[in-house]
Amino acid sequence: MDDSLKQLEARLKGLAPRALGDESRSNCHDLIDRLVSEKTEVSASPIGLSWLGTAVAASVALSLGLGAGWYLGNDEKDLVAAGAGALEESFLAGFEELDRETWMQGDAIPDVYVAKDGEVREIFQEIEVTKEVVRHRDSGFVVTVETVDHHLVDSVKSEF
Amino acid sequence: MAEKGQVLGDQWKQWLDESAPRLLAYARARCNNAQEAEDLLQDALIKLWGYQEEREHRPPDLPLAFSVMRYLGLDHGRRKGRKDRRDQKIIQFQKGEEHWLDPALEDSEEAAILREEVEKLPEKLREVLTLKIWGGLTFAEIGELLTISHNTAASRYRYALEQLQKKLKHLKNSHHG
Repeated sequence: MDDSLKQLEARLKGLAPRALGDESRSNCHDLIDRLVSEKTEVSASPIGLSWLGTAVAASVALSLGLGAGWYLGNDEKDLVAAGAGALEESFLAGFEELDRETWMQGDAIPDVYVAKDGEVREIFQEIEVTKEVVRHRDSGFVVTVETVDHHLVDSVKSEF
Repeated sequence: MAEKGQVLGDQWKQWLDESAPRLLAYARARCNNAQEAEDLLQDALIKLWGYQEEREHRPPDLPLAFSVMRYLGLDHGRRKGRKDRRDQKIIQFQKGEEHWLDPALEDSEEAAILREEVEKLPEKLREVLTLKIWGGLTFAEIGELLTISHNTAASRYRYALEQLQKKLKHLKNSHHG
């Protein structure tokens, strides 16, 4: 690279990127506090459930309920659902599953990176779409629920 | 336990304060406006926190943070549609009030022109330039992040600098002419 490009490079480095504004910084710090407190609560809880855990468990309960004929209570997974409380169970019992379909979207090309410990890893995003059609037993209303889950998949790269 | 959480929170906040300008510059190169870029940064924080669970929630390496931001940015771009993004970018540049490099630090007219020209670079060139100059990544790290060879990353970087240099020369000549 010639001197003039090097000088240009140096001038560009002098243009500092804009820092986070006070409000955004405060929002990010609040977010970190929330994430940390969630972790602390999950670790401290005797049954390992925080409100977020409970919400997740409720989602699992919904999924299990829709996918497995509304049966809760016999295997290991259902321990989580049982922890979410009887409320979700009775709520779910009010619906009947008509249809359920799950598919993956996109053709993710993994990014390869080297972790601090020198391990070569790859990371990509999977998008899972679930479409459920349920009918409320009492009212007869049919509801279609489409959920999109983004999974960040990170693994050791095994092939080169 | 609470004390450990406090330490962890402080580590992440320190990491954020150090890394945010770099990550934000990259986010701004991918988003239409400052608000979207900051939203992208917050989404990335959540993803990175979850992702770092298996590493005891330690603050992440910078290349990983860029990688997550890139995926979230791509996803965001897909959702909004490329045309929509292009149109809004033109409006954004015309407005000229939402620069992602700090105009307060510009001490000359040339610096202001340089900033504007960086923002006008084609996306592929601007991305590499942003990651190298303000992201602090090596060409090898940029190559891994963008799934291109480090030679391609270096070429794009050099080409971006040459484009900027040409623009500056042209502007200088037109001023003197």
